[in-house]
Amino acid sequence: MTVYHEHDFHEDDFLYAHESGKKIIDKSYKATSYLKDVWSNFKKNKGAIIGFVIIVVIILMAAIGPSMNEHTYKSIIHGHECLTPRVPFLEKFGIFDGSYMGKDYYAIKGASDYYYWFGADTQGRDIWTRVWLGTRVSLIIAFSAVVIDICFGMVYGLVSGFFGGIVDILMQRFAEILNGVPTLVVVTLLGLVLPAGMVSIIFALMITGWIPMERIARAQVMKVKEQEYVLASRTLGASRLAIIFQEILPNIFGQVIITSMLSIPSAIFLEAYLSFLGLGVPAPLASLGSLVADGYKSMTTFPHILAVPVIIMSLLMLSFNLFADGLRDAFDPKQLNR
Amino acid sequence: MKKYITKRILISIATLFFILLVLFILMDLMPGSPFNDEKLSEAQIAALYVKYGLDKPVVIRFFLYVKNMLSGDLGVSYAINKNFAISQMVKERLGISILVGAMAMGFGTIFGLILGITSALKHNSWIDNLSSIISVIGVSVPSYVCAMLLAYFIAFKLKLFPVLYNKSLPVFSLILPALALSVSPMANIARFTRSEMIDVLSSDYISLVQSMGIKDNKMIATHAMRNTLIPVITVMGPILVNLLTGSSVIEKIFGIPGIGSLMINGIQMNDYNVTIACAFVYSVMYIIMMLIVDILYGVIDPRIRISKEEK
Amino acid sequence: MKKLLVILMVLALLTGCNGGDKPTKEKVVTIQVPSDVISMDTQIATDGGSFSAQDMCMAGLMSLDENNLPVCDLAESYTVDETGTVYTFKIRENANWSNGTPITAYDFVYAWKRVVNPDFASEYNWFLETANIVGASCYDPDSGYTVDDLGIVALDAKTVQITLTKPSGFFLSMLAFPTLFPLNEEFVEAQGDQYALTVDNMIYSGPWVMSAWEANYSYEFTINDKYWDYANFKTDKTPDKIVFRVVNDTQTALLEYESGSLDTVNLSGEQVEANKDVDGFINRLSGYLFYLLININKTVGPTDMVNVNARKAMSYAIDREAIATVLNDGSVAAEGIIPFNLANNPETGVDFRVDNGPVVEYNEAKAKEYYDLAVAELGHDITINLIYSTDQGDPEIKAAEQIQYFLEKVGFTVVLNGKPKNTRLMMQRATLEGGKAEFDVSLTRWGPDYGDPQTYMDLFTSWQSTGGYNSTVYDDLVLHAEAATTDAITRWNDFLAAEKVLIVDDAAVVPVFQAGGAMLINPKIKGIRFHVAAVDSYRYIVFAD
Repeated sequence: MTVYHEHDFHEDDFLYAHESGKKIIDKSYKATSYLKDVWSNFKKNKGAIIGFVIIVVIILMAAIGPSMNEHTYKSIIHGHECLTPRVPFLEKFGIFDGSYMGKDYYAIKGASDYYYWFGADTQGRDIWTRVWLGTRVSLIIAFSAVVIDICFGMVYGLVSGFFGGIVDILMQRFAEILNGVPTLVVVTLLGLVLPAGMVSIIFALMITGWIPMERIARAQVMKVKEQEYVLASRTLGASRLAIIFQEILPNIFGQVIITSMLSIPSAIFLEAYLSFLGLGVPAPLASLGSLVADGYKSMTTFPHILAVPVIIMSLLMLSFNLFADGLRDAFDPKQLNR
Repeated sequence: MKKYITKRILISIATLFFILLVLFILMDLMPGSPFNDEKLSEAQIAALYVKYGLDKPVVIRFFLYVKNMLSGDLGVSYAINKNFAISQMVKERLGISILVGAMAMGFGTIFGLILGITSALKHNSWIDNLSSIISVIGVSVPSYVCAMLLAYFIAFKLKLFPVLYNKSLPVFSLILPALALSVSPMANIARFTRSEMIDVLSSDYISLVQSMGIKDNKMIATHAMRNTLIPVITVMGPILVNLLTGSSVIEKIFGIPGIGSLMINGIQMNDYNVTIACAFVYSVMYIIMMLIVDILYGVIDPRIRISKEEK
Repeated sequence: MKKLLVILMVLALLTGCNGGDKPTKEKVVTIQVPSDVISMDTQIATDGGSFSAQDMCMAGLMSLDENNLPVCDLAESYTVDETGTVYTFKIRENANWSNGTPITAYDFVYAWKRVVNPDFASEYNWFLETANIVGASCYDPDSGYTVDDLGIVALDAKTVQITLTKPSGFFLSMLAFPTLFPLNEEFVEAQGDQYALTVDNMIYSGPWVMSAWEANYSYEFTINDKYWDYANFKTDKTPDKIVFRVVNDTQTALLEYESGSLDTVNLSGEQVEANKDVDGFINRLSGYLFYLLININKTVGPTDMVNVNARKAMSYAIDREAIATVLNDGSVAAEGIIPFNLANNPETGVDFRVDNGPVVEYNEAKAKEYYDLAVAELGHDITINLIYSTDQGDPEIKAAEQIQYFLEKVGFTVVLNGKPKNTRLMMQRATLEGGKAEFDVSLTRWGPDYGDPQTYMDLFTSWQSTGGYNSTVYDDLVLHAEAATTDAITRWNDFLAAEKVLIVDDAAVVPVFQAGGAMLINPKIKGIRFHVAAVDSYRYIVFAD
């Protein structure tokens, strides 16, 4: 720590600015808004941009993909079961040419006039259509879950953590009781009681889904509220509500974003587990989870039925994570230069 | 601190009591019945209900259940292993589930912390990118797909581990299931550790230490780790419980006679006592987990301890 | 944490080495089963898996041979009186329980009275009634019978006499069913409510004894040297141990079979494609017939299923062959409500299915015709709420989706409503309570309890029908067939006619497919007996030459 030993200044330590022979012009920076700042920071993060683009593309495909060919999600062509992917043009290069174990499967099954871009499933349905439909369903479920997580869990955690005392104890007890009942039990029971469908699944996910977010929010509040700047605004007479939303909220935003982005995979996975147990979206409707669960059964024989939804699911997750990281850095610029 | 812990334990017991009540009410709402064979007449079903005491109102059944439970009797199974004592069924299977869970959590925590800390320290380097990719894949691929891949390549092709759970080699044959299960906790812990660590590293007191010229890793351990661990510990409780719930599918794939698959069976076959017992066991584990997390909180972060003792 | 890992690793390696080096000279056969035994008590069990396990280690008066015909097991001989209703069985002198006590006529009397006792509340107490045993309905307090009225008497220690209400062609076969196996009173009563819960709480009458039972993991059998036929039964081809291993997941099970640690494995439809040419592939047809149960007397919501043309449209709309092809697990298209290979004509020996020919047909044009007719009569398009089980494996789910496709093709709108089997059965049951069940059609299945059309025909009589089918023509045919005075061939012809009324005239149910069972069996073993009507028997497994 020798750095701090030298306290003496010498004459030649400093130079007069004008003696350097350059003109110094004060540069004035335009004041930028917070959001603009965020955007400019976000733009610098290549991963985040890629993630964002992929999300947009997948959402777009989820919207239009199912209607891009003549098949519907439940139309069946008998005899076309388990056809492998076949794409015009690409087939000339020996990939996606619809062959299976070295044989032209399309010719064998009498489907030479058809092109299933992602192949056909075990019932003779077009995987392309079903996968994009499933993506749509999964996204709706995931987004609903996240919105509910953010709105409810965050407010709950903030209030509980900030007020503390009896409020905290009561609120935590309630959350604990609710959370003490295993999610799977709640979801399964609700699945049995409610009519099968997306709304029921969203409702079931909602019942316990907000709790992890609530915990994070509360833990963060408890960490932050002891800090000097909160104390300062309290001393200055700021109202409690104002403190929660103005002082604490921005500080835990990074955490909230990360946790909500983690809610997306967990929502999709819970749906997938339900599908695996036969309690997912009602057939013939599909979700990414139910497609993976279905395809899993043919994993060793017709892997393409599994591969397509798994790849899209993973891509979606990857993009959400990259995007979330990008947002996090953008909202919290002090991270950037590290 | 002792007073605080005692209070927490008492509250936990009360919570468990409420959970049990909620479970009973949920069970009562559940459609179906354990005795549902098409060949049974209404009179026969009524006779079966009387035999197993299911004809009594839910409140009376609840108090009878609590009374029996206190003496270690969880009732008998109606449908899964007919007339078996559930306390015995649960005891046999819980051990295996805990073993898988603990192994998975062990793998997950170790690899997760290593990944998270490394990538935080080497923020924006290729190591960071690599571990980000690993953790992203970890949260992106369902554990049962991992399980199947492991079973196919490592167990079947390379023959390094058995596919099926083997009672005479419990730990050895549980390594693959535990690895498959650990992927998601690992990824979650890695992500969380990373972001927390970056937060801590950018805080003023670390900057101060750094500006003092310390480039030592010891600094990180002593100063940054504590503050990093608080939020990481908060997520570990729920992760562990999710892991136990999620293990039901893994149990199915590897033929492990654990408690997850038992509960699913119980729900599907309307075996009320089994479902309640399994769900309750999960709840107990969860509450204990939360208790430990809370106490650890206090140990790691004295400020929380003090603020709690004041209450 | 690191220490823990190290300990775990070391443990793993140690246990790994120990287990791996252990040489086993035992000749073991390992059978894959999808679920655990539910009960080893022959009078509490209700499922095929449990009955198969009981068949291993328990024996009755009769057993079934390779051709599904009853042969003497514990009985040495039997006589029937001229009315055909009184059977007298002589029990083998050397028939003993595994603890050495003799198997006596009293053991049968005790067991049968136990199962019909209303206090015992067995879920299979109706079985004796189906077997036409006098007083068997005593489990129902309103029947006017008591347990003492049951038509079984021990004439002496080794002679038992059974009285039936009427002559029955399938009575002897039913004696091979575990519900009618003997139980030793002294032993069972001594065990109290612990009887048959562990291997130590059981004694055995069959060729094997249960030597281990780990819940939801495996159960094992070793040879029973007290079995009456032990001398002939035990050869150098007989395995030392038969292990039933619970593996629920078909993919893992197949991997395990391919690695050699399982000797049989059930295949899913997806796995058949790649394995149908493998040595050891077999396709056993099961007795389970899947059909659409129609909620005819529904009183809530749309009641379109009352319309017979709508029902006929459904039956014509479904391409059963296509569904069987999609399922690909050995299932075959149903040709009627009676499955293939269930029962044979008492005179010609021809299978019921062949005798009656296909009574259902796939004809899209006709389906559309009937649909239009139904719509004209009802004045609106038809929406069907179809319930099916989601927890009973893939075939049922796929079939439901296929049925939806075919029905929608001719104009129906089908809402699929998947439920766990238990919930579905509950909904189905509600059809009895004034038609309050809120479904139109249920994809359900029926497995025969004995090799006779009656097991199916009884289902749709007005006094038993869960769908609410009520036809005097059908009722009269079934009543006539089952009357004591009806001879075997008239009875047979009545059943043939009844099936046509049920399906062709009224379309009260829509048969869809008969479940298959594609599986791989290690060519090194043989002797598993699959029965369409009774429980599968693994007790005769031997190593092939």
